[in-house]
Amino acid sequence: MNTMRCLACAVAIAAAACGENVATPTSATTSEPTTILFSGTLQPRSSRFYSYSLTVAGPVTAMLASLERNGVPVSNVLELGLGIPAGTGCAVSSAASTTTALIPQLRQDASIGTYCVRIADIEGLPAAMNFTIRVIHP
Amino acid sequence: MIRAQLLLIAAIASSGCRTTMTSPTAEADTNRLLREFSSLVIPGGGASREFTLTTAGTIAVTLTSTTPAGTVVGVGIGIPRSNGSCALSAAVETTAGPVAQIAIAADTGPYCAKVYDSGTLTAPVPFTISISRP
Repeated sequence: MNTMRCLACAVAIAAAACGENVATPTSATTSEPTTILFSGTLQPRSSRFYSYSLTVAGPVTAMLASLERNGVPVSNVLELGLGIPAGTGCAVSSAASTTTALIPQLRQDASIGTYCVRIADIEGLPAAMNFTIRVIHP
Repeated sequence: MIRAQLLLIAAIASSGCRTTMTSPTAEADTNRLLREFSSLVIPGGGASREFTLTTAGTIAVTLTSTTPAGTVVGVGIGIPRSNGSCALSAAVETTAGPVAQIAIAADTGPYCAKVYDSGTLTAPVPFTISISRP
């Protein structure tokens, strides 16, 4: 009888001591941001834009990460903008004249909806260039 | 008898908790990471290596060797495209040396370092670069 009591006691102590191990993990409440790479060719004195949708409000960042001519990076200044699609274009509400960088040149808080990122050659590129823009949004 | 029962209780209790008794793992090393990458660049071509920054900071790339020594190649840093190529943000044309030839500040995310023929190669050139990052 004593042995049975002892065993029951031991199991109870073991279960109590191990309570933390069987706790159900809490589910994550935040989702990973979405990364969009927008690559293309920009002709001199032209612009390109790309539309994307936010299903969650939050910060949006845009980075002109690369501008290349024949595979070699160049340092020409372009206008990078964030806005909303309008007609057949992108109505920019926030813009920056910038060279390439690996740190976002634009940040904007946005609500749920459809938006666009635009790249434009304002100063006149000497030739067509390949660009890559990275947009990160909720 | 009581002593034996106490020992039994202790044995069962401790055996059920074996996984919680392990020592905590060491905290992640926050020092800069340094990785070497060796490959071959062919005339008109390039070779790149991807890596991910989980912390924003400076990426520095050192072309440590080429064969033959003194060969001029392009060394750049950029972001990987979806097709696997490396879209360069900045680059230099350089020979190998002990000091980083290019460094650039970067946000978190995936990046790449690339060595490419800047237009002077007539034969494949083996090279080694080291990538320093947060």
